[in-house]
Amino acid sequence: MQTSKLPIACPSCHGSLHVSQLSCPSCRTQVSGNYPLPVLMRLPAEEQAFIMQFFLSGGSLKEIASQIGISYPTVRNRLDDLIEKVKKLSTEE
Amino acid sequence: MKKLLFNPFEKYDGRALLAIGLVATLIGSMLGFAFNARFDGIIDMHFSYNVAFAQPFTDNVFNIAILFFTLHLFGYTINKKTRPVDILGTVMLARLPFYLGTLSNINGFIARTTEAMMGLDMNNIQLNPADLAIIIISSLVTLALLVWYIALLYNGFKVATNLKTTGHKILFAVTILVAEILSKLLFILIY
Repeated sequence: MQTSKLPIACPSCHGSLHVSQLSCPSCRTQVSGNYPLPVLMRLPAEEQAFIMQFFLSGGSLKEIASQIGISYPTVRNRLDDLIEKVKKLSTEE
Repeated sequence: MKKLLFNPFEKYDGRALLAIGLVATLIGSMLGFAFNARFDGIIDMHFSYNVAFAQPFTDNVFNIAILFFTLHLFGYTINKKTRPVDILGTVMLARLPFYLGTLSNINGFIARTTEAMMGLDMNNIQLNPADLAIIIISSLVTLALLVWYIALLYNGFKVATNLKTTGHKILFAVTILVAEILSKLLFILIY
């Protein structure tokens, strides 16, 4: 079954989306409000997957490089670019 | 294929490239001896006569050392995480097109023709059309190899240092020119 992808940007104006409703799948309780998405959730899915991979490999860039099949400096550059992006998103909050 | 030829640095690590670069340097230096090529500058290659066996080897060692020190110094100033092994691997692998360029002097044709042309009266040049065609083709191939060399150097440096800004890209070109001047000065001092 295909899992639906969480949209992070408005399809109309490309602005950052907020959470306005949450629901419990077992008792169907619904919570409404206006919650901004956490910083990491605002990253594209492939960047979230990269962060997850980094976390699961215990922070070993060499291990990620061998898993993905790219060079060590390429992985390090990707991580550095992500850090910059997360810092920028954090200051925007 | 294009990526492998012009930017293998995204896929292959510094150490792997270093090993390939080392083999390329050894074979290239032997080709330099076989086809009388001198690598007398980081972006220079000239054909001569009776080149001693050790000369292309020492030429390449000096060129690699100068390029490595200048590029690593610049790389380290823009990104402290720059690894020496990535810069050295880049420099050694990038010189591969130069080594292939030695093949244009098979039978000493380029050296002979260049020498003959140097002695010609420029107002009364008479060249065999076949020789002229070979010179033009050889020049175009040399130009293509030079572009390949610079592309490899730039792409390798970009991956090793995470180069991004236009200012740094301009400084990269300046660093290459500085390395060329230093290498020329060194070769004048040594030989």
